[in-house]
Parts: sequence; C-alpha cells; structure tokens
Amino acid sequence: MIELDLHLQRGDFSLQAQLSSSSQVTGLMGPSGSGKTSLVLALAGVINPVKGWIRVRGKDFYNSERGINLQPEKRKLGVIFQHDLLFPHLSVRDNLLFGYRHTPQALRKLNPDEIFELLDLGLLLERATDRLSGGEARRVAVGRALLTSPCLLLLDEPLTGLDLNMRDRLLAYLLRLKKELSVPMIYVTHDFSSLAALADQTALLTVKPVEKNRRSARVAAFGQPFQVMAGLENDVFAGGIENIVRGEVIEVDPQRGYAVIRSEGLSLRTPLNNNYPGAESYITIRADDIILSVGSLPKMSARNIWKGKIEEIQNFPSTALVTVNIGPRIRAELTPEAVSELGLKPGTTVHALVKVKSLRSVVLAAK
Amino acid sequence: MSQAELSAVTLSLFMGFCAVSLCIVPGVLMALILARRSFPGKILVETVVFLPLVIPPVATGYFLLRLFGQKSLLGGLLAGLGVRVVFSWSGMALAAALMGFPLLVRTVRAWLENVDPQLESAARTLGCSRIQTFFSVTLPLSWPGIVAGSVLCFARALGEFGATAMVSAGTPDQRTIPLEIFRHYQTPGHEEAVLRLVLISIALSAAALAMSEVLIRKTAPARALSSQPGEAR
Repeated sequence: MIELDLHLQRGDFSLQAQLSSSSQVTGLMGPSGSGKTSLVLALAGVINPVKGWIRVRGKDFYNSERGINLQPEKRKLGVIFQHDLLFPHLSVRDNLLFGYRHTPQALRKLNPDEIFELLDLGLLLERATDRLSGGEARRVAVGRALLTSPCLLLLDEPLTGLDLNMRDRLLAYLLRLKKELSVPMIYVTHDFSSLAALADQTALLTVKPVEKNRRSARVAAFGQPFQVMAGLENDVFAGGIENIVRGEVIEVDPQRGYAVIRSEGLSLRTPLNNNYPGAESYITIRADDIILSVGSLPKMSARNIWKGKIEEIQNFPSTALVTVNIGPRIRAELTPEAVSELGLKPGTTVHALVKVKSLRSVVLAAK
Repeated sequence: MSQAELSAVTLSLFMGFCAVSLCIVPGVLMALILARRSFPGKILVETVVFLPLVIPPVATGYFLLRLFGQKSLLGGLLAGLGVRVVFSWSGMALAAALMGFPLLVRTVRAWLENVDPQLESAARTLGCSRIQTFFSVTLPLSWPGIVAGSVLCFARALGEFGATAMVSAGTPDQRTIPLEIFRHYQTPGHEEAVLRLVLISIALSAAALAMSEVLIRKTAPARALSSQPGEAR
C-alpha cells in the first residue's frame, strides 16, 4: 500500500501529488517534465517535499506536520535510477553486493545466487562496470537494488536508452520479478505498451505552464492502464497517440520477416522480436504511422492492409484523429487537408496501411 | 654533504610530513564543505582559505608572529602551558601547513566536484548512512585528488621560505633547505653548497610528484570521471 499527498517544488516546477495504490505494480506515466522522477526521488528520500506526507506499507516516510522525515537508508526501498549509477570503483560483483552487505542478516530475504540466476548476471560478475552494455548495466542496477530485499522497488524509466530488442528482454525480466518474487514496484515510464504489460494500476501525471515560465504538475488520473489511457481520448498526449491491441501470436516466420498476431479477428504482421507461437502480446501502433486510403489499392510494400469503416473524426487545430473500426478500433492521425481531400466522414470505407516495422510488440507470457 | 646540509634536508622532509598531517583532515573536510554546500559567507571562507596562495609568504609569517608571539594573548596563553610556537620547529610546521593548506583544499575540491552526488544518493538508498557513504563511495572516488593534494602540500612545505623564515630562530637546528640555501648564498665561496642544495630540493620535489603520479594511476578508477549523468554509454 502506497499512500501520499504532497507538494514538491524544484526551481520553477511544482508538483501536487495525491495517490493511494494497493496494486503490486503501480505505474507512473506522463510526459517528460511532469515530475515523475521528482516523485520517485521524494519517495526515496533523496529530495524533500515542501509539505505533505508519504506512507508506504503502513510506515510513515515523511510527514511535514508531525516532523517525520525518514532517512533514505531507513526506507528500505530499492531504487533503479535513470542513469544506473553503478559505482565506478567497484566490480560488478561488489556493486551487486553493495546494498546486500548493508542489509542486516535478519532482513535479507533474497539470496545473491538466486538473483544472479534470475537476471542472468553470472557471466558479468568479475567485470568492471565500464565494460557493460546498456542492458547489462541496467540489469546490474536492478539486481543491486533487489539484493537489499526492498519492501518496494522504484524503477525510473528502466527501458529508456536501450535498443528495442534489449527493451523487450528487460521487460521480460521485470515481468519475471513481478511473477516469481512478488516484489511491489512503482514503474515510471512514458512508454504505454510496457506500462500496460507490467502495471496493474497507473497514475497519470500532467503538466501545464502557469504564468512566467513556471510549470505546475499534478496527478490527473489513476486507474487501470487502459482506463487511464481511454480517458486521454480527446487529449493530444505528449508522446503521440498510440493504438494498443492485445492478441495471440499465431506464427513466426523469419523467412517472410514478420510474426502474425491475431486480435479480434484481425491479423497483424509485426516484427519478429521475441514473439513465439502461442505467446500473448501487446502491439502498439502510433496513430501518426497509419496511412488511410480510399478506393482500390495498387501493389504496395506495406504488409498490414486492413479494411474498415470510419466511426468518428475529431478535428484539432492542425491535426485530425480518425477512428476506424477494423475489428478492433484504431485511431489514425492525419492532416486536416488529407481528411478533406479524401472526403473522409463517418461511414466511409477505407483501408488502413501500416508497415511491419511501425508495429511494436511486447510479449507478455505464453497462454 | 655537510652535517648542516643533511640536517636541513631532514628538517625539510619533516616539515613536509608535519604539514600534510596537519592539513589532511581539516583540508578534506573544508574541500567537502566548499564542494557540496552553499551557505551565506561562503565566498568569505574561500577567500580566507586561499589567501596564503596570493599574499606574500612573509606576510603570512608576520601574521603568525603576531598571533603566537610571546606578547600576544594566544602566545602568552600557550607560553603559560610551556608551549612555544614562534622561533621553534612547531611554528615552522604551522607556517608550512598554512601555506600548503590551500593547495590541498583546491585539489581535493576539484576531485570531489567530479564525484556525481547521485552516486552518493544511490548509496544512501542502498542502506548507507551519510558517514558510511562518505567512506565507501566519496572517499574512494576522490582518493586520487587526496593523494595529489597531499603531494602538492608536501612539496610546498618542503620549499617554503618566507613564512618559515619569519618564525624560525635561524639556529642550525631550525634551518630547512631553502633557509640553508639562502644562508650559503649570502656567504662568499659557498656556491658549491648552494648548487648542491638546489639540486637536492629539485630532486626531492620531482620524486614526490612522480610518486603521486604512480599512486594516482594505481588508485584512480579511470571510470571515476566517466560516470557523469547523461553520458551515453
């Protein structure tokens, strides 16, 4: 159980956050500059709120009225910082055991060998930290935090800076932590597909400018990831609008160069990634990666060509969102000119075209 | 080398060690405060600490004489306890330390500023108290700076002339290499001794510098400087 109600101030930025979550994995999403990292640092005790309170699993971490401010080392949180922050003067092994050695014997719930195996760290142990790839360093950071047997793991954008393949692999490790160790987590991201895969509930932070360069952020919504995302419908999300489809992997064909995922009667051709037949996957498609076409189609390289009917067109000052029913509903972001030139309106039959490479899939688990 | 010259070399080395021993703990603390804290009057503290670098050393010596002289309050108090600071080797050590202190603080501070404070935050979240964090993260990462700063402080003390000359009684047992060089220089026909002592002092300083380079290379995590946030891996 994580409960907080606080006011944070950092320079010209202020954050008003109220949150109460009893989920195992709580997401924290929002555009950059919305205070996600600040909130994590306040939870960890690295920065202090102006006022308010934080309570985690019944323990008061901070309470400005009662004068409580638990030191970071007393909070028993595992923090995975954005830049890993591995100690450069220590080997990978000593980095991993750093927190473990500072944890009293009676409180050690996880065994190093178990964690090394779970995160495949065995071969890295004797290396220097500057001899690690981005993904390896991130795994070491996760292992180091886990070995303090934390009561809560704070992950601050753990997938940022990793290439697509590494992202999917690390996400698979995080899903393993969730399933096998049942560690409670706060997962910070601006990547919705990983959030949907990992988090049970999520908070959405939004930020808006207030007079004179000052920005003010708050928790705008809280709930299941898809509900929170649905609430954003009329809002143009800073990271672009993403369509998310959940489906089952039907086949993986390296020769043709794609995997086929079926969702609500629709076949989606996605990059191979870590897909395997029978796996359950989330697919994300950015709304501005979708092309709509009317009339008959010439031969085309796009491997995803879906026929459907337009249900709704929402017009914004310089962009339009077109919702098309192709089995699942997807939204395409077009220019207003394209909408008028093609004569698009609700009821028009269109083809939606997307390249295989524009689809992202995240494997959840085998059915 | 004459007996007097040998005693000057020994005394100079001793002054160097005294200066480093006197400066190391307060110097690292001062560097830590200047690197990590901002407080009102910080610029004043910085000025006072670094002043001996720029004012004539003789002025520093004069200041010591006035502060610890028999007629001063502090000097009188210490004399009552049987401690004599001016015109004794302890005064000379104090003068050497005062001159070396800013060099040590500057060097250590530069290295401390290179240690990412976020690494210290990470250590805190991993269960370290402030003091444990200092000894397990901050100190090892700034160790090369402490070595380099100590060597500079040592070398400065070795060669200190102005301030030392003011508080030295000038007796044979209170002459460091520079004092001895100056005395010989003023005595006609002692050119050979001057040259010999000059060469010895250059050799000692060069040896100290070379040793610090070796120590820095051995202890420096080459990576200490490459862990700045935002740097691409």
